[in-house]
Amino acid sequence: MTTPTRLAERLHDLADDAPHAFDTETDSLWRQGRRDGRRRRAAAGAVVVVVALLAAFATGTALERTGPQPLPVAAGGEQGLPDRFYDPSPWLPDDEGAPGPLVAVMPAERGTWGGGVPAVVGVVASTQEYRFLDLPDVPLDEDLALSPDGTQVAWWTTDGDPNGSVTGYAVYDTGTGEVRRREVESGSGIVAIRLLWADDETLVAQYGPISEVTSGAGTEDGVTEDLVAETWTSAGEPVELPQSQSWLLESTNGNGDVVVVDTDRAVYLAVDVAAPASPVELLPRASVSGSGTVVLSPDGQRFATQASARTLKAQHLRAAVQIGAPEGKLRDLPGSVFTRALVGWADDSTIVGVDEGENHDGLELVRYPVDGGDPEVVSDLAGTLSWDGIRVAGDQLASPVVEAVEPPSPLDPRIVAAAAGGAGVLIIAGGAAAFLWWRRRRVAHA
Amino acid sequence: MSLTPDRAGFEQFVLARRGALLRTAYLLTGSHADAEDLVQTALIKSVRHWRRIADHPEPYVRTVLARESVSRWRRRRWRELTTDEMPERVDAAPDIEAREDLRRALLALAPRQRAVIVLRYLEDLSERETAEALGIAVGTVKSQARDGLAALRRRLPGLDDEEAAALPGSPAF
Repeated sequence: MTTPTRLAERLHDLADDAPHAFDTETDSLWRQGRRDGRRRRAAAGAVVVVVALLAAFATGTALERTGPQPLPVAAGGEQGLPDRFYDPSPWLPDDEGAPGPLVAVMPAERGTWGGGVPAVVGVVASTQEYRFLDLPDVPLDEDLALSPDGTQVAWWTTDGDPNGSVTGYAVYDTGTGEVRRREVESGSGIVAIRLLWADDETLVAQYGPISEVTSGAGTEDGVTEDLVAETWTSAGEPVELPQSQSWLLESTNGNGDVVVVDTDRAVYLAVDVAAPASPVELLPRASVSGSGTVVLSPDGQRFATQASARTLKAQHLRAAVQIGAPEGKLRDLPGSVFTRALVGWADDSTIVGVDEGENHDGLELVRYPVDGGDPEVVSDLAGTLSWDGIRVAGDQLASPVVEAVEPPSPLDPRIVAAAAGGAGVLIIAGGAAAFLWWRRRRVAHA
Repeated sequence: MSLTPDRAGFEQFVLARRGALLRTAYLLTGSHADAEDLVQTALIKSVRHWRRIADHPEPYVRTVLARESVSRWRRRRWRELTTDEMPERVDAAPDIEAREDLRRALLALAPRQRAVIVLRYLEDLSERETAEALGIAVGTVKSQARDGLAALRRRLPGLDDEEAAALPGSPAF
């Protein structure tokens, strides 16, 4: 069918009569959407509870027999960077024990009989298996950090309510399953800014104690006036980084350095967390796209950034990558026109980013050789998964690409229970009908 | 500093794409108020899936917009049936009259036909993309487009001539 050009023109002409804006503020739409989501979850939970009770009543022990059963995990995965990341099911089977080093972690929802709770799923390096991690007090808007070697996961923690205030942060050891927590003394909680692993041992956390709470329709937002950036290792107490009140954490090279924005001077700095008093200036903030970032190579000699709007060759939100060195000139990285985000450096000559591709048909993890050569697509996403929340272990960015293992997708046990309950009711009704029929026959023959 | 990345991304998307969504919604509803209401409903419904769609939210929001326009018509059929009397007609200048005729003709279509026409010829979606947005089969898109275009042609007699002039040698629609 040929597109009728004239009709299209007339439709566009008529569309010019459309309103250009609406009165409702974006903030209100967001809050209402969140409220609706909570109501739906609560309603679904109530329905599920009623159905579950009916089912249990009708079938006696049916619930226990048909509850979530551990499923066999697909075996045979190889160690390396998987060629695909999957959207994990909320009903992944429960696993015992610590998972060992991880390739990546991602925020997820864990299914419960009453709805869902925020959780974290890790992809196990040795098997490519997807597992829920036993992380307590995960907030709804979770932000994660995975150490370069994949052995430690850091996350912000709440007072127990996923919707409540963030009160600190914690680290999960993937080898032992142990959790160590850092609670920040603050009356109203903290504003969580960023968690980064400067190296395999050193976590850098930036936050600010809430000094004021602004209330909206159904929501509360914390405001802070005092930013704190501190390092924390398993060896002792947190140590505050000097001068960090005007810094905003941006990225890490996993080799002891972090990149920060100095908000007073509007420049990007490279900071060696072991010697934070002597930061190295990288480039002005204005040189970087508003949604872009700066990532430092492992040796600290070069950095990559997303170009500002003047160099964009595609639509907005897509940035070309530029390479620079402290006190050096920026140069374009060929083949990066459709790069949406920078992930980090695989090694001193390879950058890893998220690329949309010329056909905009999906976001892929791509390795870009800095000193010449073709970009290499290494991973893509299945389903509606977003790269925003996935944290890949820095050491794995240079690993061989291996075939991913698709995680199991168990049936929602609530559906199973409802079906079992319905079947139980049918059996009871059928039995009752058969009994009545038998009694009538018996009376008739008598 | 208090905005989460999800929320900031949502606000950025709304500010950037609000106008385009309203244009589509206006053709789907034929009314300013309904268009605003439809877009806001679609955005609110998208919020709870925002984390998953944040990378590329437009197709999802557009899908909600199109499906909601069809489903809300089912819920409010009485209102659609009374829209033959257009309250927003303000002038009789030729171009405005032509717009008004097109608006009436669109509103006379069944909602799903209207959605197919708008997605195919305003949004320039392929048949497959239109089918995915509306949750129907590609064959249904083809038949709905054919029937919808035929109905438009009956109500807008000049459309045939214009099409013939614009696309010499091409089949009518």
